[in-house]
Amino acid sequence: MKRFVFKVILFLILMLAFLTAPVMLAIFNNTIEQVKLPSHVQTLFVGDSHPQCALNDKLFPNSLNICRSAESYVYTYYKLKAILRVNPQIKTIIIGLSYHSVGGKYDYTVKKNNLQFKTMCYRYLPVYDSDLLFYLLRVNPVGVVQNLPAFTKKSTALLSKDILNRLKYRDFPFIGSFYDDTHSNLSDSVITWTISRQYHDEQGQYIGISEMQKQYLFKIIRYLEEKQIALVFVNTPVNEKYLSKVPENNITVYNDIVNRYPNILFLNHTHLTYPDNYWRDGEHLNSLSAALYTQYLYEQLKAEGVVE
Amino acid sequence: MLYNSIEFAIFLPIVFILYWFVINKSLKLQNLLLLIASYVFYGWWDWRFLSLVIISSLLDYFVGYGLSLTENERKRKLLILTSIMVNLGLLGFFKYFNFFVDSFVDAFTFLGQPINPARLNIVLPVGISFYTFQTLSYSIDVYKRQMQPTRDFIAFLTYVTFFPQLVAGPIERAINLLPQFYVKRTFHYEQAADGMRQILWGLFKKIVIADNCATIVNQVFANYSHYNGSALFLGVFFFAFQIYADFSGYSDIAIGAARLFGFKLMRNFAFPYFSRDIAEFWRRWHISLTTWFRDYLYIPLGGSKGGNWMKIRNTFIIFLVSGFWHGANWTFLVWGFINALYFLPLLIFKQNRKNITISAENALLPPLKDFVQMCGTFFITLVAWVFFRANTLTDALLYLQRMFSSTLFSRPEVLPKMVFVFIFILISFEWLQRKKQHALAFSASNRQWLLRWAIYGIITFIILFFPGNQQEFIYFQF
Repeated sequence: MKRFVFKVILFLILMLAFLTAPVMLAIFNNTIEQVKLPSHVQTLFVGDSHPQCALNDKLFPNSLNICRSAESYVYTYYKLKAILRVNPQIKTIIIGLSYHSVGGKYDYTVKKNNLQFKTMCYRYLPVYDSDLLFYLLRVNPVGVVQNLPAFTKKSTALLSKDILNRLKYRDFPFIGSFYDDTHSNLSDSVITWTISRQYHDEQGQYIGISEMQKQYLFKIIRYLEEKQIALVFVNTPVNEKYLSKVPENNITVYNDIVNRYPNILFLNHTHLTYPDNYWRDGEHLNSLSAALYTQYLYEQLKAEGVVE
Repeated sequence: MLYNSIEFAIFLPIVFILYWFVINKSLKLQNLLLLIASYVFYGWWDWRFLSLVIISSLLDYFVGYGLSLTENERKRKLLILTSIMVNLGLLGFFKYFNFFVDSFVDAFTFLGQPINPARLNIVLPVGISFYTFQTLSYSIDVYKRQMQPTRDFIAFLTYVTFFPQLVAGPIERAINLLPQFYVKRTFHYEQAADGMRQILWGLFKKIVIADNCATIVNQVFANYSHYNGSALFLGVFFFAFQIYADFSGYSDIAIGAARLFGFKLMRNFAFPYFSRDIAEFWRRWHISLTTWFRDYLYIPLGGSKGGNWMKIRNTFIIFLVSGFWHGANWTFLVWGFINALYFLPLLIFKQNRKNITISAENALLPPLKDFVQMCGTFFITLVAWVFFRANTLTDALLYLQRMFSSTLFSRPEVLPKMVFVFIFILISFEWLQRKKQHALAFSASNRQWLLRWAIYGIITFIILFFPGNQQEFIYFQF
């Protein structure tokens, strides 16, 4: 019996060692040092699909859009910490803060063991540090354990590129890019669907506010203040029909956050209007409107003295 | 609870530790633990249906008890009929009620008298076909005086619900499994280690082969009218491996898990795709069901004693009932009928026991004749599998019509290379180990331990890195 138990445990330990070794190496051998952005980049656009679709970095001098769809502030915080450590040239961070950004839906991408968590957890692997690792282990232990093979797969791929000296910043899966697409699909049913997706659960109940999102948003603000990096929050344009259906509670929480930080620039552009074919859907711009909006934002920030 | 879930990965070691380390001194407590574990395992899916398992168990326990008290043949017959009627009644209601209603509606509509009877929204309890046959086998064996009825109530309940094989077999006979609950189990290293190896192989078959094939199969069968003949051929080719890997994978995990607790379950699959004719295939496929039907239906019907016509009639009955056992749909009946047709020439020309030994027993590769026969047998099973998988008879016929069209030899629209690699690994291991009980049945005395551990490690990594989308076991629906 002892022999059997010993061998089973030994086998499991060996398997665990093989699985975790690449992950630990990817996290702790500073693979992240390779995430060197082009030296001219001084402004970063960060956030989820809203700024990803709205801000065309080709039309905003010295900027880079690294937003990724459904990115929670938990990941944004660690992503910024990692990037800013190796890119001292960054002077300004523009972060998307929309009404849905503080919504409970974001808890799904971190705290629930579902497909979204699976996609997210290994996408951000290189920015993990022990804090994030322990945080995820605390809020979603089954998810982390179950996705260990996915972590290993992603780490092995990154490490092999790193060893071959072929790792470029675009190879890091957490680095996103502007969503360049002129497609338009605006209709009442699409708006209803997007409202339901952002603010309601599967049973159609209002999903509430995410304390986790708020907590990490405040951490981002504190961190960037300490680093003395200019910070701007943008609430990107949404279609008026979509705006009329946003739950009041989300708007109140958004306003509370704005009022809490009078020294930070919060730009609420939800009221900007565009022709119907300039909307990707009710909540996202397409590249036609993004071109106009990026120019608009650039001019405004220039006027405010945030960018040169 | 699914075998390929985190819940089971936690559940099994807990039960194992309690069983061998905490209550290992008491046989009764061990049986009680297995009973509780089995109820938790089953109730995890839907605790309400535990009542059905308990009703079925209680009925057959008391029928067995009643049979032991009387020698009066009329009373004995009444008791066994009660068991058969109630068990098959429950099975019939939950599994076949709506099928019969729909069939009557179709028949009346066909005759120009449309009717509109009430349909019931019935949920099929997982494993009902399996545990019903298992409890029935007990009552029938006691009735036929082939075994003594048990007085050990806990042992009997545990026999019916023994969690490793509760929901998808092997369908164990009381005569084989029940006595194992009476004797003290001792831990044997080799037995437990082999159980672990069999579980590993079962997980590989389920998670890597079956679940990866399922994605392609679902896609092809759902949109068969959009695919060319060669893609449809691949669709059913992958289904053949999906259903084999899914079901035999479950059996492997069940047998392996039972071995961890000192139990020996019957073999359910013996590498069926290496069969050289359809009779051999049916001796190697779902053995516990085939032998159940043989012992409790074919032989009571007269078996092969009454000449050719009797044999043919009984064979058709067996295959049709077997098809119907799989599901309440005409497609399963046709699947059974086609297999009976395949069997017919072998029966008439008395060739059905021609291939009873292992092919190329002492050679690495099979002789050309065996190889051609294996391919031929596999091919005809593919045609039958189309009926098994299709939603309706019309779908199955249209699928075959498109498959056997001029596009059969064109480039297929689906060609998942990795799945072919996994199937190649499956076939290679199973061929090399065809004399053994399962593909990872290595002897512990084998000194190449490093090679063995490397194989286990590689298979574990393939399972972890190349899983398909998690699906329920196909046979749960039966």
